[in-house]
Amino acid sequence: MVAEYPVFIPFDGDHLSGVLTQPEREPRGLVLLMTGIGATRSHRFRLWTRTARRLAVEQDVASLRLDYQGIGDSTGDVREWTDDSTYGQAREAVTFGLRATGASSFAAAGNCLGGRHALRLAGEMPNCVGAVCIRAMLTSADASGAGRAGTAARLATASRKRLRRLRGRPGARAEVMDELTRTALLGALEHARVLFLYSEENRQFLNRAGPSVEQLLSGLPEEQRERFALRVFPGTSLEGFRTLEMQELTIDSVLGWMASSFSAAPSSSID
Amino acid sequence: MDRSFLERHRSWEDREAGIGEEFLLPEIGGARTVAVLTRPLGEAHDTGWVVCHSFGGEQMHLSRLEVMVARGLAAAGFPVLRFHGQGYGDSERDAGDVGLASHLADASDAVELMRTQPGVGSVGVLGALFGGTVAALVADRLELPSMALWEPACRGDQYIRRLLRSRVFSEMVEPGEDAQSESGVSMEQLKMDLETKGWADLNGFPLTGRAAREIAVVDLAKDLVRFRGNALVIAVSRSGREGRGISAIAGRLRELGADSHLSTVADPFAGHLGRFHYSKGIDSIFRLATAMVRETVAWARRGTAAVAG
Repeated sequence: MVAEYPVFIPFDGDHLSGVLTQPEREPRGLVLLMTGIGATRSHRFRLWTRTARRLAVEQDVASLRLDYQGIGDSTGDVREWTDDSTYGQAREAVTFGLRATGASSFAAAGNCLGGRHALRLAGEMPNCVGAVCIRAMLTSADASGAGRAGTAARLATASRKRLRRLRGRPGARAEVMDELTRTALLGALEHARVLFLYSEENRQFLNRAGPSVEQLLSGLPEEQRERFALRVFPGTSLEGFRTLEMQELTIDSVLGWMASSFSAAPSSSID
Repeated sequence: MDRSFLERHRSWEDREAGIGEEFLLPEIGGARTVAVLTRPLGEAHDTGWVVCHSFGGEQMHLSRLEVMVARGLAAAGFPVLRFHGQGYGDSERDAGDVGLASHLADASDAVELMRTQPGVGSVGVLGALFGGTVAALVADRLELPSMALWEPACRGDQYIRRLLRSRVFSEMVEPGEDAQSESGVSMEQLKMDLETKGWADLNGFPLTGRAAREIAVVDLAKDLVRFRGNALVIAVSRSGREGRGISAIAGRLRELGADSHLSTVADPFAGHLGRFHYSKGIDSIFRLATAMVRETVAWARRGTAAVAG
């Protein structure tokens, strides 16, 4: 049995809405569950509601699922969302969640922009024990264009990609990871476990990102390298979590990572 | 766990805007869920409103419009209740039992919840797309005095076909960078899944065969039989013209003796209503939603003034 508390978190003159899910026993920690731009706190198809309840029941881990400013039940007359503005909201939510639960350590999970925030939280906050970054935006260019393209734009992009494949030119962007991502990842691996989740549809991106990450990790001590994992789901896309199978794979991955992250954390950082 | 801290954060007030909001944890549809009551801080009308949300993924994509309407109506003096039906958002139950019957039962419970709020004498319903369909059917069955329908789904069979087509189309647009096959899924396959498996994967939402059959028989122009209250029907399109279904509903309401007001809102992004609309981090339907809020609040105010007169 879990208890859930819907809350309004004061932020910059507005209120961010969220739901805090509390296990029956004292929580081992807190997980902040974040979305990309446009999704509400429970996420598409209740992905985060389902994750939150399983975290509480199966692992005694509390969680806070968050609506960004101007989305869901949050207040705010926002028409455009940015990397930095939403990151500040994520940090405020962590502070709130730790205060409410009494936990001293936390982990973070999110997709797209939320995944970028999860990594950054792990890099900047020493009491973060883990991060799950789902199709995370690794460059500021990706983050500034946060949110999926509309249908017409996606159709045009898909057509251009097919044309490039036919011509034998991948036409990939040169930059894979920006300085913020590199700094966050290096900082995170000093104390937290980081999981990058992608699907096979991102193969071209992974072919560029994989070597960049490997190069970054190669200079680290083994203990830190072992805190990182890159997982690729076979088959259909992670974007939009558009199949039931992909939703279950995602939830299971998040739960598995959180279980090991809270277990691996030093006992002084866990209540 | 600091419960008093959490309780203190269950609501907020904005004195400048003259409204406040409070999270509720009611039982709706036979199980627990989360609801939000938006209320005026000052003098309030005795008409409360319940927002009936749409189906499947549309529930999330329409949430911002519904929040904006709720806050706009509250600023005009009307309390408004929004809720997550069972199988959606923060509700207790999963999506497996979602269908027309569950939407109607949940909305009816929400109407009863609104009736119990202090100062509320009568309850009206509002909804967009399938939420408009639910609002209309609930208003008809409960003989409510008012309803506002935003581009309601007039015929269930067309609505189900549209949902299935959107799944097929999304497979065509995004088969994956290295897709071996671009055949994706077809309408025939989805219909067969509904028949044989009992459900189809509607871009991540499980549409059951039962729900599809329930919804497919809806025809608002025939199913509305007793509503005689005040109705606002907003047609949303790029051209500013209403579709045949909307015209049929407006006509039916007049036949029944309802005080029906048909309004059209034109917007180049009308097709984004009910779909993901945050391309590149920008809300493409903000202007459209603002126009719909304006129409709805003005109509609600006129209705109240007419009663007072």
